[in-house]
Amino acid sequence: MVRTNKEVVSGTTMGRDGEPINSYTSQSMGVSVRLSAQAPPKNAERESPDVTVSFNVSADAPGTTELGLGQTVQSFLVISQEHNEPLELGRPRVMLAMGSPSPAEQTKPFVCVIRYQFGPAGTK
Amino acid sequence: MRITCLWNTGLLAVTTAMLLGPRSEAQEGRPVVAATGPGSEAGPGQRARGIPYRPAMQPSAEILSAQFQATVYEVQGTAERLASLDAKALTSQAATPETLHSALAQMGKTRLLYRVEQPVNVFSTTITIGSSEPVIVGTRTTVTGQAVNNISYLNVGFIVRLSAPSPSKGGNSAIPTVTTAIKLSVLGSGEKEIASGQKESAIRVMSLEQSESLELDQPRVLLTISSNALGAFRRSADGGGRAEAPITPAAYVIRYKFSPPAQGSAAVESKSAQPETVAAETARSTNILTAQFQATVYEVEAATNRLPALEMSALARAATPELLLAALRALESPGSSTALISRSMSSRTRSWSGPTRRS
Repeated sequence: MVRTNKEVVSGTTMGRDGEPINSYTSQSMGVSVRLSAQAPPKNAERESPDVTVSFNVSADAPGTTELGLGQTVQSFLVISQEHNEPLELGRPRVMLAMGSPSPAEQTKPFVCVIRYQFGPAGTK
Repeated sequence: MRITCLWNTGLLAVTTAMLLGPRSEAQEGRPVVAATGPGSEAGPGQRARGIPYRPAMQPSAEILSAQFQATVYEVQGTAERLASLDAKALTSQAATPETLHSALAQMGKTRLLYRVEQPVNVFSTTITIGSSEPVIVGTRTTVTGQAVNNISYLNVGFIVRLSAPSPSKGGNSAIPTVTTAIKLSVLGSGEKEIASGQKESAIRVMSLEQSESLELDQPRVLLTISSNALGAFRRSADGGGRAEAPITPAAYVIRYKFSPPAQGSAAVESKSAQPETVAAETARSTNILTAQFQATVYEVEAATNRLPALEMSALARAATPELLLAALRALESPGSSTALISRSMSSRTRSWSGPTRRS
């Protein structure tokens, strides 16, 4: 798991002298991978185990929604998937997830590409 | 288009606990009693009470690997035009995501909302793309006359769940019947104004489910039309139009396809001639299997507000993370910048140890 907390502006008020005072919240972002393994079903011909691969990616994305006083607020993405597959060493897998959830015309979409691969122990 | 390597586990060593094959006592149904003394690696509770150790490992569910591709489109148009959409007709135009997009664009303003492509197990897979989108819920004016918006976050996204009955539970062992269940939440504009020129936000939520025999390389199309569009039909049929105007009618079209799981090249690390055999042999003597796991996450920042057309087959051919990065860079739009920020970590996680474990 690789995660970090990021402070993001969640609101703005005006101070007594007219200066903006921001309020912040903390957002956790990063990547976590969970692996678990199961023996193949008894009737399966394969001997290698089955692996459940679970990815969770969370990130921020620039937004176009205006808070006011020249500030915009960000949106936050969560991409996750979980599936199982027979363990196959040395075969890279690539996953693609992209989206454009905001109806705002000027908002740019997000694109996430994940590559993973199992290899024999001790290889680099 | 800007590419950022979000995260890279450079040869992250993962120790994965595994019980393998009929040789395992646990799989043969015999009780497994672990050493639970002070020197053992049983959990504290097990040590304290001397409870026989029973690995939690269950036999895997059925696996049938496939490549899964799904695209979600939003089509905004008049209720009459959207009502003429037909899933069967669209299927015939859905040879590729691009041809379907072109067909839909003739019906109204079409937007590609989501696209996923990845290896799956048709018996059990969950894919989620979610986002928290900021929306304006109110506006106030400061004493200096400046407008400040109140923001709230709405969760929208796309969830795919694949499932199929196990052959042992009455399913067809040759061709499984795969249920593709999709939930979709889409952000749009409502009708009420919360400030001058500022409309409220609304979420449309849809659930679709389809069960069909697995057929590779056969695109399927699911179609749903926002209920407000149907409401508009009823009003016009009544000769009414007295009710409040509906929000913009929208159709949501989902194209999905299963393909053979031909991804990547397995010719890496060729020194280990038959890696799968290595894995199996390791498992015979121990119930811990150690493998190297490497994962890299890339974020591609599009240069425009349109979803880029990424050719998945080109990406899947990349044998190393560096080659994949190069492939992504090759797909960049002209004039855009590229940055690479990589972080690597290495950790070793131990899971469980049973009585047959050898260090």
